[in-house]
Amino acid sequence: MPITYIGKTTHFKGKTLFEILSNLKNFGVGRLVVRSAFQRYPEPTFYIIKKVEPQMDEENKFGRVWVEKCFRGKKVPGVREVTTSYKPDFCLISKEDESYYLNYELKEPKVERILPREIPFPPLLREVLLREQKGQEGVMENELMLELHYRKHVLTNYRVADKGETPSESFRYPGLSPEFLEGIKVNYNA
Amino acid sequence: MLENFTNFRLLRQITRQIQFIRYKKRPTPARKNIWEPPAPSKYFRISPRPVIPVKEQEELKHLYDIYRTHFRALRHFFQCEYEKTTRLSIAVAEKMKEEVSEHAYLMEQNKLENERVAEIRKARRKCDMAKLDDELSQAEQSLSQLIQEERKKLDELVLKEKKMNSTYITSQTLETAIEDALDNLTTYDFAIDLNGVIYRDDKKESTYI
Repeated sequence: MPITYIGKTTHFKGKTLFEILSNLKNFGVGRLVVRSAFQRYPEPTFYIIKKVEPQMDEENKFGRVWVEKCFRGKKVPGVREVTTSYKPDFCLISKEDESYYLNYELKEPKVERILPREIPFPPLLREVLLREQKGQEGVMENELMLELHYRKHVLTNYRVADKGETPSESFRYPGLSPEFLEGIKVNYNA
Repeated sequence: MLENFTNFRLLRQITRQIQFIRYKKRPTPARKNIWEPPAPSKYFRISPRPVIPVKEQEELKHLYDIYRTHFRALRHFFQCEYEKTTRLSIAVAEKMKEEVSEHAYLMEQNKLENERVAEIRKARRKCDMAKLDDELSQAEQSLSQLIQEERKKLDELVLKEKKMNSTYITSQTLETAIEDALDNLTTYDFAIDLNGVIYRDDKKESTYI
């Protein structure tokens, strides 16, 4: 009889991490698991189990797991704790397939994205700042730019542009597809 | 009414009967409150997941990314501006100057006070040292006196023992001592009562007291 699912659909596919680990010898230390959410990337994304502390609750659902992470073929340095172990989204990798994950090498280094260093101020704020600085010397109108701050992470393929460097990305409206702007007039200079 | 409220039993009875209406009647279109259960006719209804076109979702995500980046930058800008007003404003700078000068003044005062106290301490220590020297010399004297007294006592003891020496039984006087003992026999077969009276063969002999 085919399985029929009832209820709201979910993006998750698999089991919770402890459903898998509690069936394995030594709580699966040394084995590989993947999250199906990250299977959408062509490069392998996986966790190597390093240390497990089960909470010994009735459903065997909770506990703490420390892993070595690999995201899109790049290894994240250090051992980190999994914060999403309760999500039913994990799959175990069989021992035959482990070599593919462990020996994967990135063929081409990704193209580095150069993000803009600064953007113009919002119009009203710019006007306010200009009025404030009217009397002061050594202030150029063109230099009035808002400096951007980006999140920092170990694995990033982007960097902030140096002074005078042209960035590869831009934050100007319109975004990806201009078809959403059909029939709408946008003042790009504003 | 208020007088009645002083009676707590009555107050409790009244408050039990009151039913508070915390929310007004639902506005139209009617919407149930979050703690109310679903209507019986809607128990088994499963609302379908909203379908968003991929392109539209990507566009929305991109726009949201831009929004977040811009707002982070703005927040940072305002934070810096605020810090400028608080840390580097003229009033703050003046206050800082005042604090620095006050600190210097206090340090000077502290130095003077330390010098004053140091002089007092020096004099006191000198006095203390003199006292200590006195005490030491006194102690030495008393110790030498004690030693002399002890020596005197020992000498006296030696003299006394030397005097006693004449009564000791030596190998030369052994024969005479034995003969003397045999001549003057003493029997220790006697009883003694609490008053020190000696009884020999049930006869009262003598008293020591």
